[in-house]
Amino acid sequence: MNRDTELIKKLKNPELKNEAFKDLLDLYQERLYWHIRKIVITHDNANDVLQETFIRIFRGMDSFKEKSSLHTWMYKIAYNESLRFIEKNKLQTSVSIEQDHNTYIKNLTQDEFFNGNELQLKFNEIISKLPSKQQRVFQMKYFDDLSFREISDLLDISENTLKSAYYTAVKTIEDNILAEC
Amino acid sequence: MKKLKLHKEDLSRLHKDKLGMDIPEDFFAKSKENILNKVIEPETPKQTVFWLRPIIAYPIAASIILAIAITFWMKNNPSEIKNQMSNTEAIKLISPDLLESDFLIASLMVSDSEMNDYLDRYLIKNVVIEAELSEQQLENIFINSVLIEDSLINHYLDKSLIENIVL
Repeated sequence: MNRDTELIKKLKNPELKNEAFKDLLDLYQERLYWHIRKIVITHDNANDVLQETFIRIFRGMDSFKEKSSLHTWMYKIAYNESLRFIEKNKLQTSVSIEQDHNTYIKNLTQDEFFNGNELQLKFNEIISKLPSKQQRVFQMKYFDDLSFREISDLLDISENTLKSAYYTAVKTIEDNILAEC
Repeated sequence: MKKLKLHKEDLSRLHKDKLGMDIPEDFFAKSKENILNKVIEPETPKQTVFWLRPIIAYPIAASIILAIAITFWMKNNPSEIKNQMSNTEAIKLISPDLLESDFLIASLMVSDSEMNDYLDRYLIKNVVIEAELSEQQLENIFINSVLIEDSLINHYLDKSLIENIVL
């Protein structure tokens, strides 16, 4: 029995659920936070969405049918919760929603927990200018370390399309960085 | 199962080094505490008010229901006394068939003044009037007997007189 299967079993047991949920937080809290942070950009917003995400995970555990892995299921909740947050607050922080990299950069630089130098800010600008699909795939693959299969489950896009989008994004970023140097 | 290749520290360092994104100190420990506080309810023993405990509440409820039922029954049964009859009249009507215990229970539902009124009338009817009737009957018997005796004497005298005269 692998770790996630054992965790799911405990999470569905009312007597063990609370303790198992603490383990779940230890395992996935940071991963989901960074996944959310790159979508909603600022730390405060990411904190709000992270809490909502785990509340949904806790309450929705009984209805988790295990059609996907626990890992993918939680990322999907975090991703949907992030998009819901943006829609609810009508934020223009995500280029995948508004296609506005200027707003992305504005929100990023106004966040008190952004301490990036010129190079890091440039990297953010390059990412924010990528088309929506390429941006998401690149972030999930490069920063979140998800597999193409998992990203495919999350975004409901074929693996081949995702691979193509990812490699195109990498090439674009490399070209932009080289052009700056 | 997804193999978690990057450790937590790697994730935070990667985002800080590449994107310049930072987090407050001890953020994840505090965040974990906040989330747990929101989803896990503290297990406090349920405090119930003493008089709401079943062992107290059920007998009280049963007593109230019984009292209401008796009051309702007293007012509406039998059907002949539906026309706003007073409690005293109702008791008077049904009292011949009541057992002593029934009468005592019923009497609890009647005010003292009504009960006194009823007892007064009961005494007048059953004791005084019946006593008077009995006395009247005795008197009638006596008078009848006197009258009978007089008529017999008269009859005897008449008969004797005629015989004496005729003879």
